[in-house]
Amino acid sequence: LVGRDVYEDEMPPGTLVNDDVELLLTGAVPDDDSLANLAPVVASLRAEYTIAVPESEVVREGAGLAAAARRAASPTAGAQPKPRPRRRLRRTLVPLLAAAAVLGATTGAAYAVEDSLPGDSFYGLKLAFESVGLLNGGVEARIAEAEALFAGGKVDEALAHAAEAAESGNPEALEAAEGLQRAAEALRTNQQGSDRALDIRSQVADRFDWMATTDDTGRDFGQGVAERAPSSDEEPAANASNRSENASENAADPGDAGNQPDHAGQPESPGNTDSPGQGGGKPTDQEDDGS
Amino acid sequence: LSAAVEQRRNGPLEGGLSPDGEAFQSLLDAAKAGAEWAWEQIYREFYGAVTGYLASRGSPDPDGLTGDVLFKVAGSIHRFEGDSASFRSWVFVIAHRSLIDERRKLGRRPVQTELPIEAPGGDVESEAMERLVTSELLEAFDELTEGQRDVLSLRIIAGLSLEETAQVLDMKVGAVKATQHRAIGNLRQRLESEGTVR
Repeated sequence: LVGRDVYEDEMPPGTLVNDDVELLLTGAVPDDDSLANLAPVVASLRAEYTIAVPESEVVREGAGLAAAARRAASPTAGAQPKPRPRRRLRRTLVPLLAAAAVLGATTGAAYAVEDSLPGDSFYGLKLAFESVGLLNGGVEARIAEAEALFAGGKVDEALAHAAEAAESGNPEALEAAEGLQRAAEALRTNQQGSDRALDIRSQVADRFDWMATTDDTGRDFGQGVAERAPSSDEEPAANASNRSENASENAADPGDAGNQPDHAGQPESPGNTDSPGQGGGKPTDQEDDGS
Repeated sequence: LSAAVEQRRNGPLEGGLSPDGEAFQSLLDAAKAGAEWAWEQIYREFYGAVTGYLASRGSPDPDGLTGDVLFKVAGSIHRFEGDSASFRSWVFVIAHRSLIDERRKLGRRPVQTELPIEAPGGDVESEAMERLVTSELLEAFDELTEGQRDVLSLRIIAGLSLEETAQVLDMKVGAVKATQHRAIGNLRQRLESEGTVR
């Protein structure tokens, strides 16, 4: 962070000329003799890391990538992706127990922290644990929480939470949105209940659909989610009742939000690596160029 | 700058993606639609460059990580808009950040991938080139700062332009220039002192 602005337009001492350096780095021989002597070194580096394309893999890899692109563009197209193993909560158990031991907490309390959701009394502690690396956090945890909220009938909270996760632009968050879309479809297929319940289901389903298909990010995404909130004239009690109903219906559906697609070859925990300008900022472990 | 530089800067990478706007847009549209031919072309274009870059920056599994990178590209391409240069930068942004994620997961700093020194070939020129790929060169490269190695790898091995490199590393173009000047200066000084170059 220190170096970027400080080094703007600051050229190191010496006689290197921009064009000569450009020539050297792009494979040509510079006019400057001392730089010209480096040309074979640059060529050696380039040659050593020139990796041949494995021709035997091109067709297979191309087909796999094309399928992944189709799935991303249209979650219902292409082969049905296999569900991702739900192992994240278990993966966080060991560091949680360690944290509990450090704090003198009981195992039961540790589980309470581990399983806490937004609004719970332990949720702040959970975030604190994540911030110091005692729990795996980030987008994955937020998605798991959204799913748990949804399963518990807290649809609005789940949507808001998923929106926060999706704001990161992380591919896994987008996958979660795909899962939510399937949940929306499940809601649509269940047309039983009162008119109000149907109306709420329809609004929620539309909201899921929009979340899963929009290209909006950041503030626009959050605003879009807010604009698609269920009507404000709904009675809270009716809402809660219908949410619970929806959740229990949805929990029995194999295509619910808990079943996440698994992109072949997708790493388990990608960072914000999907697009430039999102998640922005210079990587924290990147050093400046010395001083 | 010479025509050679301009060609490398603006021209297709190893005969791959055309800088022609219309042709690239056709490829992009096809890739978004999931056309296999388009992804085969993208795979051909980027597999070697991305793998080489990741290997040069110490990834323990550059081939596997390249697969992850390309799948991330496929999973997000429906949201990409831009020309071929932007696309190349975007792919390497994903590659660079994936590399950082990998390092975090492994909990270690990058290691310098050892360059295999092949048996010298028959002609004098190639023998001279092979001779330069020595421990002195590796040590000199390894003594550069992380930022300098990032820049040189992206410029030399990935073949990115100044502007593309700046975008990948989230730096200003002036800062990339300064970094590569320092890197070249340090490399030259080190290799001259070793007698590797004159």
